[in-house]
Amino acid sequence: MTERPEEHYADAPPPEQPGSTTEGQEPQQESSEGWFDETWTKVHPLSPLVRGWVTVVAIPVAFFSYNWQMFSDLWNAWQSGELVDNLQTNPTPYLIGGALFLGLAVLIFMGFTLSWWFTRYKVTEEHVMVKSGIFVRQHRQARIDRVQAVDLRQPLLARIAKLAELRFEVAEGDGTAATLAFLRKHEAEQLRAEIMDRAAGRPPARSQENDAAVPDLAAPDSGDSQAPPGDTVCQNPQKTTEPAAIQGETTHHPGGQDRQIVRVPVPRLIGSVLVGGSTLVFIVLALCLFALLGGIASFFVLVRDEPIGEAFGQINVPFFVPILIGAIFAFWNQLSNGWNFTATMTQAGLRLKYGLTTTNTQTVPPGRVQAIQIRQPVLWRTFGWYSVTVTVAGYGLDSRSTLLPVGGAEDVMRLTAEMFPDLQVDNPEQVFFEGLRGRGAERGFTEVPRRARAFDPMVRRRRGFFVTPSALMIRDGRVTRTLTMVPHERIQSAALHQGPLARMIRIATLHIHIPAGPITARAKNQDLEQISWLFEQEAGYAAVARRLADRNQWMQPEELDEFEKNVAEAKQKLEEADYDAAPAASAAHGSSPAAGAQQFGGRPGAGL
Amino acid sequence: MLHSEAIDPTGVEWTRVDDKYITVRYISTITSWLITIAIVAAPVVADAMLGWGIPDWLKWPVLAVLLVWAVIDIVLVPRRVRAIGYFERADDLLIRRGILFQRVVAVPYGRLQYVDIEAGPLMRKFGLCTVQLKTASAATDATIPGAVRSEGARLRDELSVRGQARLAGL
Repeated sequence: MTERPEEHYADAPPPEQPGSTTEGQEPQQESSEGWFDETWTKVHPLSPLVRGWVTVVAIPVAFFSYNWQMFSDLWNAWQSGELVDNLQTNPTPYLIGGALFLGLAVLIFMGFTLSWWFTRYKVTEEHVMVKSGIFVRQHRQARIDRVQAVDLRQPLLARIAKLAELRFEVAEGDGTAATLAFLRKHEAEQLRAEIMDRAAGRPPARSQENDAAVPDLAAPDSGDSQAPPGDTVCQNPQKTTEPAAIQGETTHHPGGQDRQIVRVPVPRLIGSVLVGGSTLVFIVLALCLFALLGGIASFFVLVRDEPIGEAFGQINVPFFVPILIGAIFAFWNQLSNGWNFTATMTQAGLRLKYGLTTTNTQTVPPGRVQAIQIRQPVLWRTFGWYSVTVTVAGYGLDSRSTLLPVGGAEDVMRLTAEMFPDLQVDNPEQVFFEGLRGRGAERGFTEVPRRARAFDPMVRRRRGFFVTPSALMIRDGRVTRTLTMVPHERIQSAALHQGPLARMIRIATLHIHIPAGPITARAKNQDLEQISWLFEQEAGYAAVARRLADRNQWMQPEELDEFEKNVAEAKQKLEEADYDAAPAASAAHGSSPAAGAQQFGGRPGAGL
Repeated sequence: MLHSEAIDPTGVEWTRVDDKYITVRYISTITSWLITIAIVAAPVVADAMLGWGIPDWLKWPVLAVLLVWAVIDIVLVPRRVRAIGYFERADDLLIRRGILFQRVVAVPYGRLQYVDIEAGPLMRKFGLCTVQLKTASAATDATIPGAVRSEGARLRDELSVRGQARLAGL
């Protein structure tokens, strides 16, 4: 299927787009006037420069790193003064080279400028729409109530120019749904705040005149296409000061004020990276390589009778360069993704800010967190450090799923308290730390039964689960400890797996299915009786959860009433459906079963 | 009816897929094995004709292992198909499969994003189809292969109705 999944939920086509496609390509014959009217806004005019410079710089870099020899030749020539002489006597090749490079640079910038000209966006009451493409035109739109997260990114040059890129994530997307690069920073921030508010369904200040405001927004100031988006959309200055949602999850926003939850000091980050998992990997790799080379050297010594010194003297730095480069890249990534990391609780959700050269600001609403995982690599244990990752639909395996690169147990507790529903047990801290550090079946968690110790000799006593009224907690790992928590209401489906050996000793593995992300939740090799009970339990929760707690627009007061109403309707419908089942089935018999995708209409904007 | 295995939830009476699906599986399994064996046997034949000199200790054991494997695979087809079952409960659909490595998946109706029905040429010839259930999680691997077409349509509509009812209560 080529259409994007959101299409399944689209209720009514937006007025200007009859097909309601989220990502459509339209034929070329349309003039550009037809393609964009005045209501579409261009991104900031400096965008082509900011986007293009990397490519322009990358050309010589790629060229020279590919022809390393040439670079060193050039360097030697420059040192000896030969280069200058050459330039004076015979400048033609250098001029041609320079002209070629300049021409290429100009072409690249022209390309980016054209693409800038053809990229327009528009934010309406319901959608964020982006049109782009010079030859093949693309129209993307994301339903605002389906937006899972809005991120703000500032590469180095954009920071200098005070610009920022906005990215919208929707559930089920295999990539970013829509990107606006670049806007002025304060505009981008305003736009983000506005969209996050609407995605949350939080009643905006203008809700009294809601009906009047809709038509205005649907056709924003058609006279002035250059109006900054912030002005067309953010019409309520008091929005930020308004106390956070009266209804719904007030627990997440007790004060309504921005509160800093966690800050990661730079020394701690550096320390954590140095003693982190990747260091171990690289040390092991280097040792393996050393052993391999040593083996080869010994072979020469023993078999070929070469002198020991000479044979081992061959092992030197160049062999380790690839590993070194890999290590540097890995460390750099970890450092730049955690540099100056702060997590602040705002009305719209948890705001994460981090970055060394490129700064990122992302907002993760608590209602969009599908699962949370706390990890502790072995060397972090002495320092009591943990890292936290989450699954947010739309982020996929991105590094953006990191909620906390490194922090102490207190930080983790605070973060989890904000981002995860209350565990609803009497002693949450105790349970939490038992999951993080404990082992054995004494304090609530299960373990792999003793008869199955051959399956898990190492992690037997760590591998287990604990069920609270609100969430499933799965702990695992002896060397790298992990604790995975999934709210019951987020579970999509569950599967029980059992192999032949497992059947003999009556154990089984439960897979919990959640949207794609960095976290896999499975309780491995648990006692059959316990795990079957859990399977029944989770299947039951998942079945009713959708009716009980949809947090699609988790702040909206009407949502609750409507929800109650719908539950009643649903019940009635279900009863009717039971009676009607027979005729309905026979009526559908004629439809082609060959490739029919039955879609569930239901309400639009179906959450996860 | 299937007899109940250890991991099957209690009180579940599995509905088996149609027996014609065994024939379909036979055809596709045998075809794929024929192709595999043909590919592996080609060098042996070439060896016999052109004298490439593939050592005997290599070619006969490889062929023998392959043949034994193929025979076991083909013999197991009916049991494998009979191990596939599904059961509609009040709130979710259970699907099981596997003899040696067994699996039971529970897909709540409220979690269904859509239901796919597909049928290749072979399946169509036997009047069968594959019902595939999708949730927001890519990990959900819930397919019922080899349902009779009318049963597939019934399932789809039934699931839609139930899903809608559940979904309406967002």
